[in-house]
Amino acid sequence: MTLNQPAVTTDIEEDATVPVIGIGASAGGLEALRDMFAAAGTSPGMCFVVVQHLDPNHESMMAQLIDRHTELIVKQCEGGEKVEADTVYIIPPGHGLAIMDGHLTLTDFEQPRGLRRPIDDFFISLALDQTTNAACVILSGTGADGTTGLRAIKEHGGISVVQEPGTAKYDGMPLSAVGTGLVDFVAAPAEIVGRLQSFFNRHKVDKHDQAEVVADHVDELCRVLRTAVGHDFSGYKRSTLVRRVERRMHVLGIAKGRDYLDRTRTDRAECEALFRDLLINVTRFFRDEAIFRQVAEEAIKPLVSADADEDGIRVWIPGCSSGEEAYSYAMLFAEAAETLNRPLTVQIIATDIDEQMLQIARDGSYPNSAMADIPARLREKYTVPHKDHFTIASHIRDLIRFSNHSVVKDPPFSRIDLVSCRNLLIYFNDKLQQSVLPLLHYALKPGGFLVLGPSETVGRFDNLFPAVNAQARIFKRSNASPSYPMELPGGRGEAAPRRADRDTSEVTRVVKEGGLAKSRLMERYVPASLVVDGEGLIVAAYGRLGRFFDFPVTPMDTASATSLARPGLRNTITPLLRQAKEAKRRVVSRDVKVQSDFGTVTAEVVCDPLADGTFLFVFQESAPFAMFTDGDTLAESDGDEHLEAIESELRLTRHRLRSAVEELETANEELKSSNEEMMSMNEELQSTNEELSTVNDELKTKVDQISVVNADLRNFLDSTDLAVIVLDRDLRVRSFTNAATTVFPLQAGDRGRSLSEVASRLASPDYLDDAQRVAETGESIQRRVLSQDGRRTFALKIRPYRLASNEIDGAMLVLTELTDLLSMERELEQGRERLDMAVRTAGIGVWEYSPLTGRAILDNFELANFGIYERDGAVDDLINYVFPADRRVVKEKLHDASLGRGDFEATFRLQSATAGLRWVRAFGRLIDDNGERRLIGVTIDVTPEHQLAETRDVMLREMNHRVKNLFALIAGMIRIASRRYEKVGDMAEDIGSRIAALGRAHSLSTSAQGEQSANIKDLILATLAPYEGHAQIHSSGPVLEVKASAISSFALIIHEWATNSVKYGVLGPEPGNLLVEWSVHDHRLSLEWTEQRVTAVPHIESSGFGTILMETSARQLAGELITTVDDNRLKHELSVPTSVIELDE
Amino acid sequence: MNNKILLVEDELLTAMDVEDTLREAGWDVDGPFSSVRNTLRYLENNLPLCAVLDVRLEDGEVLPAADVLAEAGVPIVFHSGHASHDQLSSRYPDASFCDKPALPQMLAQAVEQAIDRVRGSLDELQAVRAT
Repeated sequence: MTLNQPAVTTDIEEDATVPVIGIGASAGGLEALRDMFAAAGTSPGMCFVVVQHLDPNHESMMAQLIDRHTELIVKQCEGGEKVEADTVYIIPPGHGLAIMDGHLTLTDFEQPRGLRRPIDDFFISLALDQTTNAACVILSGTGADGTTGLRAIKEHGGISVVQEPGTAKYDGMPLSAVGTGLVDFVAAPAEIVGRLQSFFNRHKVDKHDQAEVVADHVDELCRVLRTAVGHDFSGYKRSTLVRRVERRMHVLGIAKGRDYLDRTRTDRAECEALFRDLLINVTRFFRDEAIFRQVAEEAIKPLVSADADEDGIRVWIPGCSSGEEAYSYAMLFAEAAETLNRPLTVQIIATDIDEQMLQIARDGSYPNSAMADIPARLREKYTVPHKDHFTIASHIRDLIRFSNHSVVKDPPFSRIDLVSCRNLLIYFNDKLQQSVLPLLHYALKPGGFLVLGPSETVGRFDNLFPAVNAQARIFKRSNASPSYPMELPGGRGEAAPRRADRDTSEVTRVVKEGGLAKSRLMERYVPASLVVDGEGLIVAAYGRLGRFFDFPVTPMDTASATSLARPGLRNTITPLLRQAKEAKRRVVSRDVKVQSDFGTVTAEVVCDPLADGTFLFVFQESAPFAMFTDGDTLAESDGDEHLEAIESELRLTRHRLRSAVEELETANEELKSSNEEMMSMNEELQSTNEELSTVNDELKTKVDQISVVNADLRNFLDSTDLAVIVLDRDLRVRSFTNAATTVFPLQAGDRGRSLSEVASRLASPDYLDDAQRVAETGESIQRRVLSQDGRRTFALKIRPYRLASNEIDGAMLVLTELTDLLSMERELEQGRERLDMAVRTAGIGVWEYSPLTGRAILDNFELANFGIYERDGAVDDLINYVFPADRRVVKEKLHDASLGRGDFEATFRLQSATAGLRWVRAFGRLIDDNGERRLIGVTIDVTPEHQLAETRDVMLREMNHRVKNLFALIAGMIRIASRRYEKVGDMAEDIGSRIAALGRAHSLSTSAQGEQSANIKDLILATLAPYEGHAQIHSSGPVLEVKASAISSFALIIHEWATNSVKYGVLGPEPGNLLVEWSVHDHRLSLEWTEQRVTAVPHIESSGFGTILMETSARQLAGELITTVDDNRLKHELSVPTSVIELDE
Repeated sequence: MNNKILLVEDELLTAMDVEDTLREAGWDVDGPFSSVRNTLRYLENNLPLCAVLDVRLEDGEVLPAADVLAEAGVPIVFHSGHASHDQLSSRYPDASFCDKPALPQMLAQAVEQAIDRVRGSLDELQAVRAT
C-alpha cells in the first residue's frame, strides 16, 4: 500500500467521479442490506459494491432479494463492469472481487474456505483504486473480516461506516471494526446512506476552496495537538496532515479550518480522534513476505549465528502499531535459532505512541482471518487457535516488550542490533526524516542492521547506512560518527525560538502593511521615533533620527539605543525605559539637551509602552538648535579631558572584562562539553529507565500471577488428601498439609520447629535419618512404614526440596496411606489366582489378536498344550499349526470377526510335533481398546470329547457289522434248512426255536462290558431255560467267559443237544437227569453233556439239518464233537481250543 | 478251463449258504477259508477265476489276500457287513461290493458280472492280438 503512497498525494479527482462504497456483510447481512438500500432513495449519487460471504456451491439469490426493496439498480457482478452511480453490484458466489481503474474484476480465492477474507481483499483494492473517493460499510456478521480492509480505506483517506452493533443480528464484525478506533460513523442501517451522502456532498464542495485554508491552520493545529496529546506532528508530511484533517472536518460537517481549530481547542475527544486518524497505518503479519525472507537470510541469521557470547540480541521496532510486525520478527528469530541450533536470546522492544494499539499488541490475540498471513509452518508452531481468534504462543510473546515511546520525542534506545522502522518515515517530512536517521544510527551497535519500508530510503545519510540489500531496504550501520543532534527534534527546547520568530514576523508585517503613503509619511513627516525591546535594542526606526543618534557607517553587532544615542540623550534613554517598564504607561522627559557635532538640541523624549512588550520612543525638539560658542567648546574640552581619563579607565576595565569573559567562556565551553556528556549519559539512563519500567510492568504482572499461583498452592495444601511435610535443611518444619496432621499431630504454630521434636504416630523414627540423608545427598528415598498400632501402612516418599537454582534446601516427606490399597491388592491377587486356577483347570487358553498388525499373543497354556513355540507371532505363521484341512475356515472366520461381523467361533484341529493332533474350540470377540481394535479370545481343548465320539462311532460300526452278520447267519440258516425240510411248519418251528436260542445267548453278550463276551454258565442256563423243570439239571465248571464271536456257535450246539433231549431224552419223555460240566485241560475247553436215563438209550436217527448245524458250529469253533452211548447214559462232548474263551486271570 | 471261485468267509453257516448258492449257479468253490493265513497259503499255489471275500476274518482284515488277487488281476467281490466302501474302493477300484445280508441271486449276479468284465477285456486283448 505504501508503494502507492505517491498516488495518495496526487490531486483530487474531478467532481464527476462517483464515490464507490464497499459494503461487507456476512451472517445477518441480508436484513441490514435491505434496510440500508430501502432508505437510499432513487439517486444517492453513489455506487455500491456488496461483498457478502456466500456459499460457493449455491447460486445466490441476493440480487433478487435486494432488488425487491430498493429503487436502485441491482446487478450481480459478472466481472469487467465499470462502476456507475446509483447501482448496487453484488458479489457472485465462489469468487472474490477487486476494483481496478473503476472496473470490477472477479478473482479466484487463494485461501481455503474458512480463511478467506473477501471483504478485506475488496476493501484494500478499493482503497488503492479510489483513495479519498472510497468508503467502506461493515454490516452484521461474525468474525473480523473487513477490519483490515477498513484500516486500508482509512489510510488512503476514505471514510468508514459501521452498523450500530446493537442493531446487527451478529455483532462480531461491527464490534471488531469499532475496536480499531478508526470508525467515522456508527449508525443503524437505514441511516447509513444518508450519512455517506452528506459526507460526499461536503467533500465535493470543499475540494477546491478549503484546501489552502486548512493548510494555513495546520501549524496551529499541531500546537493544539501537542498540548492535548503530547505528540508533535509538525514534522509530519504536510500533504498527509492536510488530507486527514480535511477528512475529520467532513466527518464532523465543519466547513472552515478556523472552526475546526476552535473545535480542537475545546474538544479533547476530537483531538484524540484526529490523533488516531493521523496514526492510521496498515500492518499485518509478514507484510511483504518476500522482504521478510530476505531479512531472515541476510540479517537475522547472521545475527543469531554471530551472537557468540550469547549476551542477547536486541531488536527495536519503532511504530509497531498493533504488534503484528514485532511478532513476525519474533517468529523469524525463533526459527533461525532453531535452524542454527542456537539458544534463543533475542529481546524485541516494540514501541508506538498509540496506547490503544499497544494494548492490542500486548494481548497478542488476533482474529482468525489474520492467520492466513502467517506461513503455515510457523502457524502451527507459534500460534494457539481458539474459537474465533488465535493467540501467539507465550514463548514468542515473552520475547517482546511493548512500550509507549516516541521516536521523535523520547530519547532513543541504545546498543540495538536490528532496527526495523518500516513505513514510519514516509509519514515524516524531509526535515524530520533527516533528524530521525542519525538517531537510529546512534541506537544501533556498529554493524547493526536497519530495515526500512519499501518506499523509504536513508536519503543523504548513505555514509551512515551503506546498503546490504538495497532492493529489500536492508542497511548496515557504518562506523562513521555523525554529529548527533543534541537537541532532540520536536523537543521542548524548540518552543521558545519558534515563538520569537513568529513575533518578529508579525512586527515586520505591521511595518509592511503601511502602504506607500504611510511609508512616505514616516520617512519625512513623522517625528523621530524608535521602537525598542525591553533590553533597549532597536527593533524599528522612523523619521529623522540623525540629530539624536549617531549611526555608524559600518554595520554593528548591537543596535542598542543607549550606545548609539548622542551625548545628553544617552543618559536619558535608559532611566526612561526603566520608568516606562515599571509604570507600564507613557512617561515623558522634558528639556533634554542633546549634543550633536555642531550644537545642542533641546528636546522632549516620550517613552510609550506597546502591547507586544516593546516601547516606542518619540523625540520632539522643544527649542531651536543652538550653535556651539567657543566657550562652549573650551568647556567641552575640559570635559573631554575628564572624559578621556574615564574612557581610558573604561578601556582598561573593558580589557579586564574581556579576559574575564574569555576565561568564563573557556570555563563555559568546558561546562558545555561536560553538559553534553551528561546529556548523552542522561539519554542512556533514560533509555535504560524505559526498559526498566517495561521490565517492571512485566514483573508486576508476574507478581500478580505468582500470587494467584501461591493462593492456588495454599488451597491445594489445605485441601489435599496427601500428607506432605516440607522441611528445611535443618529438618525444621516449613509447611505441611492438613492430611499430614493425621500422622504428625502438627499445629499451625509448629512451623519452624524441628521435626525430631514433633511426635509421630509412625512405628519407627527412621524417617528422620532418611530425611537427613535426602537433604544431604539429594537422592529420593521411598519405603513403606507402619503406624504404631501396626494397623495402617503408608508409602513414605522423601524427596529433596530444590530451589529454582536447583540447589537442595531441605526435604519433602510425602505419606500415602496404603492400608486400603494393600488389602485391595491382596484381594485382587486372590481373585487373580482363583481365576488362573479356573482357567488352568478348565483347560482354557487365552489369546489376543490385533488385526492391524496381524500379530497374535498367546498365553502359557496355549504354548504348553498345543506345542506352539511363538508367544508373539504373526497370525500367518501361527496358522501353520492348524490342521491343513481346517486352515481356510479358520482364516475366513478370523477375517470376518476382525471386521466386526460378529464373534469368532470355530472348532478345528491343531497339529504340532510335541502335542500331536488336538481338537480345539475357539471363541473370540472384537474389543475396541482406545481406538485400537483387538480380538480377544479363549481356546478350549476338546480332544477327549472328540475321542469319545470317535469311539462311539467305532462301536456303532462294530454293532452294525455284527447285526448284519447275524442277519446273514440267520438267512444262511434258513436257506440251508429250506433244502432239508419238507414241511414249512416244521422248518419254521425249528428255526424259530434256534433264533430264540441265539437271541437269548446274544442278550447275555450285550450286557457285558468292554470286549463283549458271555459267562459260559449263563450261556448254558439261558439256552436251557425253556426246558427247566423237565428234569434235574446240574451244571458245574469253572467261571469262564466265552468270546462274542463264539457265542452263536456255542448256543447252536447246546440248543441242538437240548432239542434232541426234548425229543428223545431226559428233557422230554424219558425220566432221568442231566449233567452239564466243563473244564479246561491242555489248552482245550471240554464241555460234557451227560444224560442219565432210566431206560437204555435208543438209536436215534438224527435229522440232517440239526447235524449239519452242529458240525458246522463245531468247525467254526475249530473244535471236535464226540457222542458216546453207554447203556442208559448218553454223553456229548465238545472240545475246543481255549482261544474261544477269555481266561479269567 | 479254470472255473473256480475262491470263498473267504469266517462265519461257516453263511459260508455254507454262499457255497451252495455258487455251486447252484454252476461254479466250483474253493474254500471257504476263515482266516487270512489260510487264504494266502491257498493263493501260493492257486489262482481262482473270481474271489468272494469277507472283510473281517478271525486273524484280521482280508486286505493282504486281496492285494495278491488284485495284483493277479482276479476280480474281487467283497461280501461284508462293513459300513463303508470308501477305503476299499479307493484301494481296489475294480472290485464289486455285495453288502451282508445279501440275496443269493445278487451275490451270484455280482460274481457273474465281475467275471464277464474280466473276460470282456481278455477278449478285447485277444482280438487286438489277432489283428
